Amino acid sequence: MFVCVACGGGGSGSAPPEVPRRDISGVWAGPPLPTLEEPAPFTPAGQARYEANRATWGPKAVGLADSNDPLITCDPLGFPRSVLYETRGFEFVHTPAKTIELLQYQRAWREIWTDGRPLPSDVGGTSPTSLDPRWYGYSVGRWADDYTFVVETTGTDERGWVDYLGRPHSAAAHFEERYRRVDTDTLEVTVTVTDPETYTRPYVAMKQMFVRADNQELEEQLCVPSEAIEYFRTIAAPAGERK
Amino acid sequence: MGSVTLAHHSTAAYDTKTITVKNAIVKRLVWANPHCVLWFEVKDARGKVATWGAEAGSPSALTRVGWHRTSLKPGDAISVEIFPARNGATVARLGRIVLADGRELLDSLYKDSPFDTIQRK
Repeated sequence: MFVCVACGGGGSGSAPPEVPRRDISGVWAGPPLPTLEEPAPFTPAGQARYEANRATWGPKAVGLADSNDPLITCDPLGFPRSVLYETRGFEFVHTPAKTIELLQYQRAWREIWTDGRPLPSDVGGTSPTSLDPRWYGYSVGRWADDYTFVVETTGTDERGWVDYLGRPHSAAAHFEERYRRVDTDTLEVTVTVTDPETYTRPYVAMKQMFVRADNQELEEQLCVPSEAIEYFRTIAAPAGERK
Repeated sequence: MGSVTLAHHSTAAYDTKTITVKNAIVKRLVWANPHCVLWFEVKDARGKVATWGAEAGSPSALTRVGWHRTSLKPGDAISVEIFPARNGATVARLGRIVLADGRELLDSLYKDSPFDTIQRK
């Protein structure tokens, strides 16, 4: 029988389950389009790159046929867009040296190292030892407290967008995700972007609640290039033609 | 009138008001990612046949709101509510389908669709 030693009270009702400590494993579900938090404080260079990204959402939305959103051709979501778009499902798996994030969209994954290694520096640099930028970057994680897992990421490929509005980032950007287990079934996710080339100050891109999925199974949610090409040819292109 | 809220791709190319096409005949349901497409035909008053393509959610999104890949068969008679392209092309975002037997199928984005609620479970 479950006994809750910290629940207090003492009525005859069933005690709430204890929130798991240092554990955000399992499948979490959320909206396809999470709510973005605040206007991004662009630098002039950031503003110019933002203007060049023709998003299909937001105040300067264009039709699909006029957009250069990398997703149209089934390019990877990349990070941080994977946490800021198509967040219908993701899963964490803890192992001793790393936490794996499984992303429902495109069945991609991220490795978040928890063995104490530092983030790589000089990603994309000219030194023979510098690492290449990657669509999902390089990530390390740690527990800030028993219920908050903090992930830091850098070295992300700047072809990826930050979000569905087409905000850009540089390869030198630094991202922090905070996963706070509010209770057994609720995960609060906060994403902070620090990228002096693109933004004048760090800004919170998203603070969104996710819920533990009942069936604990990710769906197969793919962008299939051959099907996307056919969709674009038969639907999106005719819908976007100027007549 | 329906409204469009959430999609993998935005619906900026489509009108925000729907039209309802009665006496349409299903040609084909393309069950594909990222978007399923319903192809249907309809005759105008002079008997001229127009072919329409209406995009809908992904297979996983439509499955959540009660569709199956076999939900529509070629030759099925339907009434269909769509958000037509602003430019007059015969393509659209799907809204709602009513089959001859009264069954109803909603796009995963349609205003009454339970998609946003269901996905959280």
